[in-house]
Amino acid sequence: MSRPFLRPRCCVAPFALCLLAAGCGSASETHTAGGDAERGRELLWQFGCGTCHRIEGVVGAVGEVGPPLDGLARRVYIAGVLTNTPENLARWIRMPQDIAPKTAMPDLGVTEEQARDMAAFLYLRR
Amino acid sequence: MSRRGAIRLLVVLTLAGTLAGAAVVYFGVYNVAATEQHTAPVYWLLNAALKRSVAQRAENIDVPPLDGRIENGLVLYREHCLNCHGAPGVPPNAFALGMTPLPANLAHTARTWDVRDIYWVVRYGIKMTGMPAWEFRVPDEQIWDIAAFVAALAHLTPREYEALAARVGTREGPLKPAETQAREDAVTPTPHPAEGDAGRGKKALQQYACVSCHEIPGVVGAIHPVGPPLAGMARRGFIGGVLPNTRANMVRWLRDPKAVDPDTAMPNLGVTERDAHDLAAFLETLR
Amino acid sequence: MKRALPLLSFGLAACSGVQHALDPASEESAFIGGLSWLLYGGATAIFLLVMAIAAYAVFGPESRKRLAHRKLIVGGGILFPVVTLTALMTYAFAGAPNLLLRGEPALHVEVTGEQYWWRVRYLDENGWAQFETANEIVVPANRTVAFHLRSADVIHSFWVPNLHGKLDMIPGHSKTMQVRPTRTGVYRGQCAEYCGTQHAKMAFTVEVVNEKDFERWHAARKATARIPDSPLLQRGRDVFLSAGCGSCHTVRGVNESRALGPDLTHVGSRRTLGAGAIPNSLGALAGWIADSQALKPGNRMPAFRNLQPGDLQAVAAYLASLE
Ligand code: HEC
Ligand code: HEC
Ligand code: HEC
Ligand SMILES: [Cu+2]
Repeated sequence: MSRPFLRPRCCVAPFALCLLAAGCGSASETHTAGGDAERGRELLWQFGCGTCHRIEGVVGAVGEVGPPLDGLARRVYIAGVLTNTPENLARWIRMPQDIAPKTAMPDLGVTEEQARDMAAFLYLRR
Repeated sequence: MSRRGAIRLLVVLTLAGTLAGAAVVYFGVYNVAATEQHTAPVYWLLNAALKRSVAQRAENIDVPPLDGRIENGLVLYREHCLNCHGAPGVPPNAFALGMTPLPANLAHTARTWDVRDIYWVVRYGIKMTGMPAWEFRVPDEQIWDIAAFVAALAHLTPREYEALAARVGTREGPLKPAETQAREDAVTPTPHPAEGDAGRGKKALQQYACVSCHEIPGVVGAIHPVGPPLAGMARRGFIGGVLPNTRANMVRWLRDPKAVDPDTAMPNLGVTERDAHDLAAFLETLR
Repeated sequence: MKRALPLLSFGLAACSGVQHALDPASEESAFIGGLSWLLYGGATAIFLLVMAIAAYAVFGPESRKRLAHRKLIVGGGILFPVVTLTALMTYAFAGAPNLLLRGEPALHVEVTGEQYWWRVRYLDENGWAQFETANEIVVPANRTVAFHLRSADVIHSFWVPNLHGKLDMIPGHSKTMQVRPTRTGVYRGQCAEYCGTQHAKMAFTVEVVNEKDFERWHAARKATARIPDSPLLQRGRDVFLSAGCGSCHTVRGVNESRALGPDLTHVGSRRTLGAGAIPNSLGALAGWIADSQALKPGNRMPAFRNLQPGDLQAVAAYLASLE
């Protein structure tokens, strides 16, 4: 689905600018945890992750349903049940229902590669 | 100002400073109660001093091979450390919750400390914290076993920890599941207003070790992100991702998170009904 | 260079075509756009000319004295503006009928502004609603469409820059805007009259498609909702009814409601939720239902913070399945 009409791109640009200005956007750093952080950011927006989680740097990600994802990289546990590694984070994003059947986080049909990209972005949020 | 004038001023200032210091001590201004956390600047200073002190001294320690030490380390850990530090999904003993500073959550330490630092702290202890030195009680090789196990805590989920403990067993025999049971209302519940007392709840955060696992705004020392941050908790939709965020559910979660989600890394801390209401009342102020 | 890129895209964004008055996609906006260009072009030329004369008057050689000639002052200062402005006015008035109602429209769409979303009804030739939807309008290209604009509460303004100018929606009035789209595409509209806290998040889209696609779309939208065919979706429908969603939202074929909120019969195929507030997806549906007040504070749907996780998943999955 392409949605250029949803929000003029100019809304995204200042965020991109902040990211780059903050030095987070250098080529080496956008590829963490085996994924592409820039793509990850776009995906976090498209999948609507921001409707449930606060994520700095993702447009409109002001959700309060689940825990905020800023500072996730420093946390010890993901969802309280997995230890925090890039692989586990990607696994959780792909199949939360399999890992914690009672969780309110839905299985959104994220592919492995997409999950890695999202994880890469989230690991930039220290 | 003449040189003599300057010297005189210096002497007067020194004297005044000394007197002020003596007065603070004599009149007992600084509260040593373990229910009171240090003031923010003092906490920061002590914390920074501890880290620097350990890092300086541990820097040049040679690390022996660490493979194959974890199982033995686990046995020793359960024997010597579990009481105070707890383990993934396992609470520390009741007395440890009353300590200030609180014994740290070592899964977090494992993510942020070098194994040399862990070894050094276990061997030499930490003054004025309640962390004992083990040099004269545990042989060096075994201290390395423990250090290796602590370092491994970073990648041990509660369930994996339980499985490992069951497999390895203790010296006395296999792990009894009783260990993870909640310590129910050791303190007799007192009548309390159902709305809870947020001020008392804030103190209880220290007394139930919440501060060793959560970042909580406005609470000194709550800087260890083991679980999710509690800022904005009043607005969050779900508790632990599974319970709708209501007062009744919050009390239920605080008293027995393991009953809500058996796999969770948040242990049953033996929170009484009253304290759970007070804690919940405090969390409701975090908008 | 890398740092300059976002700035560049920022600049270019101003020319992207989805919400742009100078990128016309209808006969009406073509006229408005032409008029605008004429004004910009003419004004620029006159400005340059005046500046050149001023520079000549200040810095020029001795011959500049001729500028003080009476004929020049009357000609340039009075005659020229009168003639130019009269010509412009005549041109604008002559073209204005293009913007008004002309002929019998092929399609009638009623759009009602509500705080903070758009109720959309497709009407038959007698003015009866064939079906209702929200926030997304689809129209055929090269057919005249009449938008009947109303308001349910306060003054809103209907504005799709690529298609036409603004027209206020006034409570108690019905106004008609006629548009003949010429180019297929998706165009963004936005409420253009401050109407409350979430005025900024009150957007919509008009999609112009060819005749065949329009017929297909129209038939699909007229149909009642898809019947849930799995236990999860059935549970979702039950939650929809038992949690009280059905008092504000209609899913045709499932319930009748007071219609205080958007019709959800085909919500799964919408591009966005909350009138353009967030992109639509399964996750966004769940997030919106659990706490729409965090995403669009002050909107008229309460946050459903007491739904059990399983119920939330089910109702989100159910709505996502309603394509
Ligand atoms: C009597 C309770 C007690 C026992 C038993 C105990 N500790 Fe501690 N430990 C503490 C306290 C209190 C601290 C200080 C925490 C602080 O100041 O951050 C501490 C600090 C530590 C630290 C530094 C953590 C940090 O992040 O600051 C490590 C590592 C540690 N202990 C490991 C161990 C190990 C391993 C054992 C078992 C051999 C053990 N402790 C036994 C109470 C105890
Ligand atoms: C040993 C570490 C630990 C201690 C001690 C601890 N927690 Fe937790 N807490 C966690 C973890 C891990 C989670 C995530 C649980 C999950 O999602 O399954 C959590 C989750 C929570 C949540 C839900 C947050 C959310 O976003 O879902 C609240 C509220 C909470 N804890 C409050 C407390 C309070 C109050 C205390 C003190 C009585 C406390 N915790 C003590 C580790 C701890
Ligand atoms: C009090 C009336 C009310 C109730 C009850 C209600 N809603 Fe809504 N809902 C609204 C309103 C009003 C909007 C439009 C909000 C906006 O965009 O400003 C809306 C928007 C929505 C949307 C987005 C639709 C779109 O196309 O943008 C969905 C999905 C939705 N509601 C689902 C639900 C579900 C599921 C429930 C039950 C759990 C529910 N609603 C209960 C009033 C209500
Ligand atoms: Cu408005």
